[in-house]
Amino acid sequence: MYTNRIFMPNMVVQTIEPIDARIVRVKLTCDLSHEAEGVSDIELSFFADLLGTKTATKDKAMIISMLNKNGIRLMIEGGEQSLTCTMTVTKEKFGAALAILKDILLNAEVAKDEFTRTQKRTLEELREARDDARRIARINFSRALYANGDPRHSETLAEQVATVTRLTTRHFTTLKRNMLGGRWYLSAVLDPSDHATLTRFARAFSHDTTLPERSAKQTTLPRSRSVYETVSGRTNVELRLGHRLTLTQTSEDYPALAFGLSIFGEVGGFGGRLMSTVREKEGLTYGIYARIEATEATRPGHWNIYTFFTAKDLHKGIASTMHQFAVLLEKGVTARECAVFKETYQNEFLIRHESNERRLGYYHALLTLGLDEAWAGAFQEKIAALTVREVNDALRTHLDPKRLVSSGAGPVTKTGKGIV
Amino acid sequence: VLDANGLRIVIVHVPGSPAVTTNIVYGVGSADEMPGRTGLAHMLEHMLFKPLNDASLPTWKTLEEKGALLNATTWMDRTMYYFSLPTPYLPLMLQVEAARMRSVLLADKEFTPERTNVLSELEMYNSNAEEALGWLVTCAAFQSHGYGHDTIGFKNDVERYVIDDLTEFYNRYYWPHNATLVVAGDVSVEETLAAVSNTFGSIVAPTSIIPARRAIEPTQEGERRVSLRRKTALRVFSASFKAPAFGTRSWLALLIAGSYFIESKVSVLHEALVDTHHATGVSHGLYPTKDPYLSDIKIWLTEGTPYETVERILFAEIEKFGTQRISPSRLRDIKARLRSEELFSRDGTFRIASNIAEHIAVGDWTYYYRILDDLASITAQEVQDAVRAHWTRDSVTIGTIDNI
Repeated sequence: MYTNRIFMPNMVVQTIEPIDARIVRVKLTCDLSHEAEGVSDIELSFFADLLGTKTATKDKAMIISMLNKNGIRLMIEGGEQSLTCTMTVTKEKFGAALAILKDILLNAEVAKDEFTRTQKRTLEELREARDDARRIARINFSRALYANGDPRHSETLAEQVATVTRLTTRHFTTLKRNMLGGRWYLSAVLDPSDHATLTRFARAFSHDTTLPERSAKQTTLPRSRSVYETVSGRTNVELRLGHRLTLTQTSEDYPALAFGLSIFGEVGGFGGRLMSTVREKEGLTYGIYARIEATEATRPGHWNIYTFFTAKDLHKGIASTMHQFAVLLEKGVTARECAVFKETYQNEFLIRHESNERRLGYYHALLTLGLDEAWAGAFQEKIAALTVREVNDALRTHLDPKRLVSSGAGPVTKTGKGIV
Repeated sequence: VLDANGLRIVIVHVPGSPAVTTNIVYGVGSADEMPGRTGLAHMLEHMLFKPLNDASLPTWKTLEEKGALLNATTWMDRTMYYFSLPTPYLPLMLQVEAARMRSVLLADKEFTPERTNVLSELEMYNSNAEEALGWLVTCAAFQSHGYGHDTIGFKNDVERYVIDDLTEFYNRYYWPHNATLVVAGDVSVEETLAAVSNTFGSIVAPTSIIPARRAIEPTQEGERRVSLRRKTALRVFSASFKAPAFGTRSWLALLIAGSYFIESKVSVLHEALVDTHHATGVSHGLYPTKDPYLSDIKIWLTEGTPYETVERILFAEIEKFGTQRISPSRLRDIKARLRSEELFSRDGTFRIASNIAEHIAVGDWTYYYRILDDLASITAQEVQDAVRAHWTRDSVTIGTIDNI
């Protein structure tokens, strides 16, 4: 399998070999993190909702009709300092699909009534989100980890309401200008005969503006704390536990730490220690995982355990989780676990190439994180060569129970005072 | 079909794929459960991830440790189990699937913690008011058919049944002649068949006959209403109409109707409810089921909008829809979109295998290959007829959330 990259000013184009050349999948991300004041997630999400509702020459009905007629699936999402368009189309309609996407982005306009409708709808959705314990736990966790001003800091639901309320159509115009002046990443899984069409499309977004590099500045690491919020009508407490890290994906220790955390809390599978004990043996939760998040090639992020417990099992569940964490740091991972997870990593890497969709997801993520195929290959090699000692050293160096930040949302008042 | 025991096999060649997927689908789901024993099919699915009664047999853990993409799902008509791994592991994958067809250790020490996990899963869904409303509506919509409860079962049932109930269910339904194995990947048909024969061929065909589902839901004669009282910010109105079974032309016609009427920012209902600020969103659910099930229209209301208002608008728009045909251009656009969605869902061995398994569960795997032609031939008249026949007051169950 091959991938290839073409570099243009403020635009990188990545082509990926398809497993099925009849279907083309595209991801186009605009990174807005260069904006001095930052753009909030809710603003970006709002902006994304409006994209595709009007262009200089077409109204909403015309745009949707063109998408349908050509059998194009298009999703535009905003958040985490970026906007991402995900498009799927058959090979024969690929050219038409790019023309529509180009029009939607370059000639985007906003109708006043559509703006008002979206504003009201978003406010209603934020009202409904007061019930969403998982979202609230995530928001509070990110606020406890990252100070205001860091792109990973989240607004509270109340702050999001205030942001949406003060938006005007002028913000749309400003955001559009910022978007077109942003840094672009385009990936597509497609037949080589379509590469030239893709490159032509990319040129329309490339520009010569000098943009500052993404900030790698590390703000002060927060101290250990617990944040919990009561969410009515819920029977489970959603939980996040973790802390900030000081390493990036290109750091020497990164493969060992990521690998060790997989052994501890493999995401999506049943094989991690947390799943085998807290779920399988003790029956305390349906799912419990641990991983590194928000970490890029040059910017450190954080690690966390995420799970949920019923209110009655909350303290038992937390005690069991903390016990497993203590055992991990004290006794470390075993040679057998390392051997098993090395094979797991190797095969999971191959499975990521099983469909056009998986290929696109994996390689586009690498691209936007500032990594490439060579990094992925080297990462796999490092994993294969890791020793038990290297893994345990990385876990003990980078994970610190004294710095744990925890966030819980749900029926927490019913269960006592603290979380951790 | 495997001569030895009646196991059906479908092999799909996916050239160039580095991975192979197996998906075994058992013809048993929550619709086959008895009152008081709801959730058994799903609980048993969890138990297939427990040790086997012969420690020398390979288990799913072996595949987990190889990095397999694996899991299982239970639904009304079927239970399916899948593995994806690089192609050389296929023989091992088949061994594991064959071993757990008849050798799962159904013992209290495994069952007790797993029951708590399932109850935790149940709480996860139930604490979502929208989900809980859906369960309530389904219960009210069916009087006799096994579709009338959610797959995960009622909490009281899950808390009460014992290991013998699971054993009896396992021994009744988990046999080769009640299963179909789908293998998708860059594999040779001959070698795959030989490997299947080597692994599943020794399972003795039972003399018992799998009990056929007998219930036929009585015709509904008039609307039904339910409400869920919850402390929640959500305000949801749902209208669930009796719908035809999958594989019929009227099911496809209703799928097109849903797309035109509900799904998109320019749909009839979006314009009538969302654009007018009565609702934040509308959706339509139509499910591929073996027997007639439901066509669910769901509306998320804005604060202050009375339920009566959205109900009035919904039925007025349905009535209008029943008297007007979709224009040829809209029909063509909708068909093009649905066709593409179907094609997009055939990306990679995992999707292909589960898609075919889903068709098998409702009766006919060949429909996977015919559905695009059938979709293309649906007429505007058929869409209109389907709306008139199914989206009626007589066949609806209405659900609302009463916020306390």
